[in-house]
Amino acid sequence: MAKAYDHLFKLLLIGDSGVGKTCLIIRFAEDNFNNTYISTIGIDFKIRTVDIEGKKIKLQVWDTAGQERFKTITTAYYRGAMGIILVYDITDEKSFENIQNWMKSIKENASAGVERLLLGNKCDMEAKRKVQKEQADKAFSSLARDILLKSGGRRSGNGNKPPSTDLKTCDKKNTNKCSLG
Amino acid sequence: MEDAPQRLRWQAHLEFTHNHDVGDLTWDKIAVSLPRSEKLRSLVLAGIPHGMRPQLWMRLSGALQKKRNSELSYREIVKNSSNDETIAAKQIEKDLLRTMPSNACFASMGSIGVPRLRRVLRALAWLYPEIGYCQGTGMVAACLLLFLEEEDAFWMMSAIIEDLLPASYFSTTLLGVQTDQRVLRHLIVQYLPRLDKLLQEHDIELSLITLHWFLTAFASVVDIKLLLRIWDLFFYEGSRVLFQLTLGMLHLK
Repeated sequence: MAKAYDHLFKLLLIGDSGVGKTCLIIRFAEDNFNNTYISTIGIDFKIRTVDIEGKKIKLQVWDTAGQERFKTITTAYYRGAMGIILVYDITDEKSFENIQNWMKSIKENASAGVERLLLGNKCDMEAKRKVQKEQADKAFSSLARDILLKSGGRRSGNGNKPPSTDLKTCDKKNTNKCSLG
Repeated sequence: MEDAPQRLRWQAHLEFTHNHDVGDLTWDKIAVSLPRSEKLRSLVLAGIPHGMRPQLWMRLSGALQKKRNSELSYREIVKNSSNDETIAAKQIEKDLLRTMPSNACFASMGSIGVPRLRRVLRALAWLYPEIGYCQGTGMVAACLLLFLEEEDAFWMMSAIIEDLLPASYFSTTLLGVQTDQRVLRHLIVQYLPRLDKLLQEHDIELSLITLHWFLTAFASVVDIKLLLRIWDLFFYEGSRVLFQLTLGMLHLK
């Protein structure tokens, strides 16, 4: 039986509670958006297969609860992840400040050399923006491997790149890396 | 939902355990807690008539006793916990509309259940500072609010936290619920060896599947009709029911 995919990649989304991780995942895996999300309790995942350069890539995207106390549970999933997406809310300064803490968690729990992606969510709420793009660029410029992309949680096609584009960029790097091995 | 013969059986039982036989039986004449017996257990197993649930849940769980014995009234607790600026209050605010968004009672900030849910969750965070606010408890509280008065829903939550579930279930370490996951893992080895093998083979962490089953006492898992039956049992027997149901459900799969 032919394998249904060429590569399997495990991605993990982390970030403060309420920044829109679940929304991103559902937007990505099911290509829909609605306003009725339930706060994630513990951990959950979605699967989507994408086509990148003729290869079938199966993406297993793990969604995590953002509340601090769930870290003891969610950090167990860091090690298996090939890419980790750090999400903050551009209208919530605290969620951006906390990216430092999430980076620390990655350092302590993930495999060395794991790909990271910083993602500022809710760009459709430009009027309420608290975290400037320059701030994010500046704070994380030392992490040359990190890509900073903005994602509008609500709609694609309004000038923001839809999340699927973001993830693709991230996967591509993984693909390249894996094909070497 | 209301099964007439079952309702009669409950009525008979309540009248029988209630010694005086003058006049109509009203809830205020029925004891705060019902003496545990095989008869009562079999009645609970067969299901509580829906109209009797609010009153019987309060009695089976010990919540009514708490409400009566508490030095602080719910109103006082609400007053003490009305601060908007606490960390718990801010977290609660984020979750109010993410608890039961498809239910009209909790769909928008103007919905009838939202201020109630806010007060109950803040009151709990104030009464149990070692817990504060734990995601998942909102789901339980919201479900209770669908059937009970706000104050009673609060005392039910109190009974769940203090008596029905092991200690530190929702605390900042989540120690209680994590311990239960370990216990469950052992039970699976013992009772569902095929599932145990499957979990090992695919390197599946059990908490992925069952953590929220335990953390929300199934409120986030099953249809509300089924949940009511589960809770009939849970409020009478406590935590053990969660294990039995989980093993049962995993066995079915």
